[in-house]
Order: sequence, then structure tokens, then C-alpha cells
Amino acid sequence: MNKMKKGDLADFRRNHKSSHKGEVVISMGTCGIAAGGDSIYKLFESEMKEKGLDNIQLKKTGCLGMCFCEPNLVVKLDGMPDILYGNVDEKTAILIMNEHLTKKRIVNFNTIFMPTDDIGKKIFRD
Amino acid sequence: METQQIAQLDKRLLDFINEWKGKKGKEIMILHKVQEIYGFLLRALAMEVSRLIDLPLAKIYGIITFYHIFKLKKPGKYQISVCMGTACYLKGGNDIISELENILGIGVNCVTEDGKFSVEVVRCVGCCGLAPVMIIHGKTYGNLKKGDLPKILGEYGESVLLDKENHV
Amino acid sequence: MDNQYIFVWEPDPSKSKAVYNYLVKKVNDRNLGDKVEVFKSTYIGLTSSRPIIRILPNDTIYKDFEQEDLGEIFEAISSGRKVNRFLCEFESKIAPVPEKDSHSKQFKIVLRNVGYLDPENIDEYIRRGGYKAMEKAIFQMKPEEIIKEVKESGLRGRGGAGFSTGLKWELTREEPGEEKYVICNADEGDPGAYMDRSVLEGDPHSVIEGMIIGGFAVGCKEGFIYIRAEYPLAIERLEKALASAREYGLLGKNILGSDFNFDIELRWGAGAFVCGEETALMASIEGRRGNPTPRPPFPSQSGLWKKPTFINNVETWANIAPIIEKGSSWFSSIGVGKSKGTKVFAVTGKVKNPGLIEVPMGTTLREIIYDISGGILGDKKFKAVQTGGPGGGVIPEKFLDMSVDYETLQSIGSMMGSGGLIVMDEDDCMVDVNKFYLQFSVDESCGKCSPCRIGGKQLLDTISKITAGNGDMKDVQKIRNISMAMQKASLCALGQTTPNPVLSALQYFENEYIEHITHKKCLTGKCRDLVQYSIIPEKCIGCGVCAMKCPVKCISGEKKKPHLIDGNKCVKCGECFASCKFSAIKRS
Ligand SMILES: Cc1cc2nc3c(=O)[nH]c(=O)nc-3n(C[C@H](O)[C@H](O)[C@H](O)COP(=O)(O)O)c2cc1C
Ligand code: SF4
Ligand code: SF4
Ligand code: SF4
Ligand code: FES
Repeated sequence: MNKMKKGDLADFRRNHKSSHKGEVVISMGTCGIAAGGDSIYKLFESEMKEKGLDNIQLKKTGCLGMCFCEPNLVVKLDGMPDILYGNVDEKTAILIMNEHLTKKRIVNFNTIFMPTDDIGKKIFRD
Repeated sequence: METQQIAQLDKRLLDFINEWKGKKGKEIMILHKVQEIYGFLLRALAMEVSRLIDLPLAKIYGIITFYHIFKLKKPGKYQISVCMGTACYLKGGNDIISELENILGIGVNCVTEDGKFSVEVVRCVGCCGLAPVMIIHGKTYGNLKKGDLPKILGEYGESVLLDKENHV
Repeated sequence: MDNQYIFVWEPDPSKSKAVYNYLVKKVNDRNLGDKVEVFKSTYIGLTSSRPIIRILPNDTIYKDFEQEDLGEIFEAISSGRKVNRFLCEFESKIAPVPEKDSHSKQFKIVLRNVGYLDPENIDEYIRRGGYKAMEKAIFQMKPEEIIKEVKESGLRGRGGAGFSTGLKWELTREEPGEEKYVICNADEGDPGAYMDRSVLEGDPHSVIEGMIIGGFAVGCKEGFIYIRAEYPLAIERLEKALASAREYGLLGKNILGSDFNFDIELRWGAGAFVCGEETALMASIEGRRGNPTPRPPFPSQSGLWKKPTFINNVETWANIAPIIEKGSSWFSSIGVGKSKGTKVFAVTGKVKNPGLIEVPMGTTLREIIYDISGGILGDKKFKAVQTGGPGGGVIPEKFLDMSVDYETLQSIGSMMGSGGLIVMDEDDCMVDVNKFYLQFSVDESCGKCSPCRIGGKQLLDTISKITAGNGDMKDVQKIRNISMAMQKASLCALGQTTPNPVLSALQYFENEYIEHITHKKCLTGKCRDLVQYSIIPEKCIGCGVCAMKCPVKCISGEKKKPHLIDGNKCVKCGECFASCKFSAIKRS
């Protein structure tokens, strides 16, 4: 990476848009990991590869603040509402991949809401 | 004698000291490194560090004795840190400590005879949402119940423990 | 019409799924299965004592309806209309900015990215508008303008004392000298709080960006983040973030091609709570014992290595970029009175949904505990909430509707502190909790000055005497006297605030103290020396459950005959009391 100069940040924002059709975001702060978030992450990593779900991005994030239902994750797919699943164990994880990611069907199991809107996006809107 | 001791110093530590020697605020960082590598701060190590960074031994001991994290005694192979922050206290951190005492036969700040486990108390590890919490060898366990302990300790090959259970 | 997703939250789904079942049946009866889907939700962003429905994609929330109203609501959903009288929209008086979230009582400025981006990937931060404020500050603003903006925003320190951030910057800028330092206080020692950890682990760049702006405004070349060694993941993510910011030219020499040079390094704490205090923190970075020193001189005059220095808390830093981006009037329109913006709280203890929340200043404790965090665990009775950690105070039920801001909390004997909010229920004993906090403060006193070192110990001894059943009414006066001396004569805020929890408990829960002292009773059973467990023979059916649970095996009896507790061996753990299904065990 070359060092950025004035104006490069704005170019970067314009040119580096995500090419994925959706994402799975797993809470992995200390508490999420303690509750088992990292093994869920690994499971998604290997299973998504196996199922060929490579247009969906898998990523980790910090603590969403929902410590009472860790491990938790958010599924964001184009054209569908963002869904947060709490207390995700292996079984739910597989269900999420088979139903939600593959068939676009929300799993009726431990569904939760993002506690708030994505305000960050609004604050730094271009 | 002195040269011999340098020869014994772990290379990672020497590299670290060389890297940090000229930096501001290096003292505590170097002591952290010693403890990371050796597990505790042996007197001979403190002396070496004192010589290498040119800081009086008394100063080093001043630091080590002030900060809770630095250990002067060798801890167990697996260190068990039970959280006794407010959230964990309210949710029964005490019970976890007494149950560990039941199972391992040692209290806080002690090491089991075989040197395998040591138990210490920490003040909040930042997982209060999962209280009560303990950490073994870097791994955090949350939402603990007394009954979970035998199984968790079993992960660290505590078969003695199962024997003990049967005795009761 | 788009597919409709109906999410149903019911307060206790194990007891009743009436709303869910009704809606599912409706969908099936009407054969709408491929257009309308119904889901059970375990949390819906807010909580209540009654069911809540949330409908996507247009995000409508209905609450406070009766079961009979469901038919009407269902018709509306399936035909794309709304039923206005059950609509839930928060018209927030305290966050009237356009960005506010009308579906939640929370408002996330500090936590704006936490949970949305990958903290280990700087690209995501940049894509979400990261480092935009920094670029603006360096290229479009003069240092004085930045400071003016921060000052006018009304931002006050989130680490405890609540001092004006802009003023602190200004004072440091005005000091003579080329060499100045900026520090981020990430020592988060308050036991039972983890706001700073979450920010550092979830969005490290927001803190780094804030510090660069601060460094530029005040005229520093170097900054330090003093972080607890107990937070290894935060350290790892910060190191990664710093490295990638350097690689991108956002940190280091000639930031973004300008002539501004600035870098940040980490220094670890080593498990001493007192090192959160600024003068002790600086001593610790310098490689000394973390003893506080008297002020003046203030850090802005003579701080790190005797150079002008300013210290802000993690959360304070995370507020800087939004303030620069949106302007001071945007920020100061959020909040109440002299408390602007939002505050992050770690809500823990006996609540149903412990977690991390961010609310506009001025939100009430009741909204936090009941509308966001689900109320008290197991539907027990609320007793008190402690804010401000070991130096704060307890707040009883009568103040639940008071607004959470610096001044109000102080006026009722507590303080904002760093953001720990510990909820206690009827099973918690105030005297026991006071003992816990005192033990903490005594362990953490650096021992430099005698009011704190000796006074704290005496307070602890007195309270221990009371919990052991040897208290005397004179002890209450003694506690007050020692407290006064500590508040007046201690060198640093640790000693000055150590008595706070006890004083506030004496103010609001004096009867509990009296109960312990004169009746030698602890109604919650937490003070073990003051309780006795016995079995009521008439009620005991001899099932033996308690005998199995007792850790010291001091309960005996034949099957189906009343059992007996051997009081000499009993360690008062209360296991038997909790396990007997026939209320045959008495605690007195
Ligand atoms: C005993 C003691 C412990 C403290 N611990 C912390 C802490 O963990 N984190 C923190 O940010 N401030 C802590 N403070 C407050 C700091 O001294 C200081 O006020 C703060 O870092 C200033 O930053 P702010 O203006 O952004 O709040 C503590 C103060 C005292 C007296
Ligand atoms: S008040 Fe307590 S912590 Fe502060 S300097 Fe005095 S002894 Fe140390
Ligand atoms: S209180 Fe505990 S020790 Fe005492 S009888 Fe009951 S179970 Fe046994
Ligand atoms: S659990 Fe209750 S009913 Fe059963 S033996 Fe014990 S006291 Fe009696
Ligand atoms: S109190 Fe135990 S993790 Fe915070």
C-alpha cells in the first residue's frame, strides 16, 4: 500500500466498494469468543467454502453489546432485512447456512434484532 | 558467572530489550515480557534486567511489588483466574472459588502440589455480561455454574480430579 | 407488496406464545404463507412487560395492544396499512438530530461502528467514513478552530470526572514548549464495566483518529495509549490498527502528505486500579510505582516527563471524529443541561439482558433498566443500582425516573463514573455489597497517604464487624467520621471517593444497617454469620434433595422422614434453601 495523500481517502471510498451480495458478521469481542464465537466462525468458514457460498462475505466484529445472547451473528443479504441470531450453536449455524444463506429463508430460531439502526452510516454519509 | 547468566537469557527477551532499550516508558513493558516468557520474575532475572537496562534493582523490585500482575512465585502450569469484579461477585464468584477449593484442594494464590494449577483472583476481565467468569490458561469461561467445573478442569487433563469426585 | 416479516417478542415465551400462535394461525388460515412470515424473537431492540411486534421491511413496531386487537393489526399488515394507535415511535426530546433512531431508546455515536465493521480491517473503517474527520481537521481547520469546536460541543470527559474536553485541550495548547504528549486512558479499572474494552476491540480506529485530531489541535508529536494488560484482545487489535494506519500514511511522518508528524504507541498497565488516576498513570508509563501526586502542577503544565500532557478516556476519544464531522451544534443538541451527547453503559448484575448500551444523556434509569435491558432477572424486585464503580453510590428505586447526567447523579450521592451500571435485586445485601467495594478500595489503595490507607482499613473493619453480628449503633457515627476525614484529607480521588458507596447506602438503606446492627439479621442471607438454616419438620417430606446438595454433608435423615441440619457443621451456603421444593427450609 502506498502512503495516502490528501484526497486519496475519498477516492478509496469511491473505488473500493464491496462486491459481495451479503455478509455474515460474527460478534467476536472477548466475551463473544468466550461464549464460543470463534468456533462458530471457524464452522462458517469451512462450511461456507464447502457450500460454495463465496459471494457472501464472512467477517468478525466487536461486541454488539448483546452479551446476554452470545454467541451472536448478523446475516445481511441483499433484498432481505438484516437478521441477528443469538445463542448460536452448531446446529443453528448449520441451519442458518442451509436455510437463510442458501434459500433466503429466515430461520425461526433465536432471531433477534439489531438493537439500533446503523447510525454510524448516517453520521459519515458522503 | 554474569556472562553465564546472559547466555541463559532467552533470546526473545534479549531481542525485546534491545528493541526497547532506547524507548520511553520501557520499564514495565520489559518486565511484562520477562513474565510472559518465564511465567514469573525470578530474582536472577530481575538482576539481569537491572543490569541490561541500567536500572537499580531496588527500583525494579519497587515496580514488581507495586503492581498486582507481576508474580514473584512460580505459578501453576495452568493458571486459573477467577473474576471477582462486581458483576461476578453478585452472580456468585465466591461459590466458584470455594468449589475450586473443594476440587483442587487449594485456596487463592496457591499452587497444587503437582504444580499443575494455581488459583488467583482478578478484578473484572471485561466479560461482565457473562458473569461469573474465570480464565484458565488464556481461555475465558463464562456463565459458570459450580457443576461445570469438573468438566472444564477435565479439559486440562485433570483425571485426578475425577478420582476425587468418586471418593466423595 | 414485498414479503412481510413479522417478528413477535413475548415477555415470557415459556408461559405464553399467544400472539405468535395467533398470527401463525392467521397466516395459515389465509394461505398467505409465501407472502407473510411470522417469527419468534428473543429480543427486539426494546423490552416491555407486554408483547411487542416488529414488522419488516418497513420497520413498524406495535406495542401495548390487547390480544383482541391482533385481528385488526393482522389485516393492516396483510394489506400494507398501519394501525396508528399501537405504533411505537420514540419522539426523542433528548436526541432531536435527524440521525436519531426512532425505534430505539439507544443512540450510538461512540459505538457507531462496533458490531458493524471488522476491527482488524482498516479498509472497512475508511469505507464507512473513517479518517474523514481527521482529513478535514488537518487540511481545512486551524488548531484553534478544532479546539473551539470541541469546546462548544460541550463534550465532557467520559472517564469519571466530567471535565470539559475542549478546555483541557486549550490549557495544554497554551502551555509553552515544543514537546507535548497526548494520552488515551484505557486502564478501565472499574470492576464490572467494559465499555472501553468494547470500543477498543470493536472499533480501534475511532480512538486512534480521535487522538490524531487531538494531537494536531494541541501540537503534539507523540501519543500513548495506556491499556490494561488484562485486555489481550484489545491490545492485539490496537497494535494491528496502528500498524495499518501507519502503512496507509494516516499515522507517522507527514500524515496524508501534510507536514504533520504524529505517532501513537501502547504502554501496558499492570493490574493497579489506582493507575487509572492521571498522575499515577503517568508515573506508571514512566516506569515508576503508580503513586498519585498532588495537583497542581496539573498534567497540562507538567505531565509525562514533566512536559505538558493531556489525558482523555477511550470513550471521550471516540466522540471526537463525529464532532469534527458534524459540528459542535449537532453534538450539543443531543443530551440535557450541561451533559451533551451520549453515554455508553455496561449494564450488568441482575438484569435479564446484561450488555452494552449507548443512550443520549438524560435518558432515565428506568428506561435503561426496563425498556432496554429487560428488567430484573427472574422478575425479582429491584433494589438498587450502583453507578460510578467503587467510588460511586447506590441509587434506590425512588430515583429511577431521574435523568442520567453528570449533575443529577452527583446530586443524589452517586456519580457518572466511567459507565458501569450494576443492578441489584432483593437478594443482594447492601452491607455486604459495601463490604465488597471497601475490600476492593483497600486492596487498591496505593498506601501513599494515611487517610486512605488507614481510614479505608478502619471502614472495612467496622463493616466487617457489623456483618459478623458484632455491630453497635455507635459504629454508624464512626463510619461517618472516618468517611469525612477520608473525603477531606486523601490525596487522590481514590481515597476521597472510597466512602461514597457506604455513605449512600447509609442514606438510602439505613434500615438495612440497623437490621444488621440491632437485630443481628441479614434478610438476604448474604452475611453468613447472621443467618441460620433449619428444617421445618411439618413441611419436610424427606425427599433428600437438600442432603444431596449440601457441600459439607451436614443434613441427615431417613427417607420420607423429616431431615435435620447439623448447625455446627453448616457453612451457610444456602444451597439447601434454594433446592428444597417444599419450602421446608427456613432461613432466619
Ligand atoms: C482511582 C481512579 C481510577 C480511575 N480510573 C480511570 C479509568 O480506568 N479510565 C479512565 O478513563 N479514567 C479513570 N480515572 C479518571 C482519570 O483520572 C481521568 O480523569 C480521565 O482519564 C480523564 O479523561 P476524561 O477527561 O476523558 O474523562 C480514574 C480516576 C481515579 C481517581
Ligand atoms: S488517596 Fe489512596 S490511592 Fe490516592 S494517593 Fe492516597 S493512598 Fe494512594
Ligand atoms: S446452608 Fe449449605 S452447608 Fe448449611 S445445611 Fe444448607 S446446604 Fe448444608
Ligand atoms: S429438600 Fe426439603 S423436603 Fe426434601 S428433605 Fe430437604 S428439607 Fe425435606
Ligand atoms: S466483573 Fe467479572 S468480568 Fe467484569
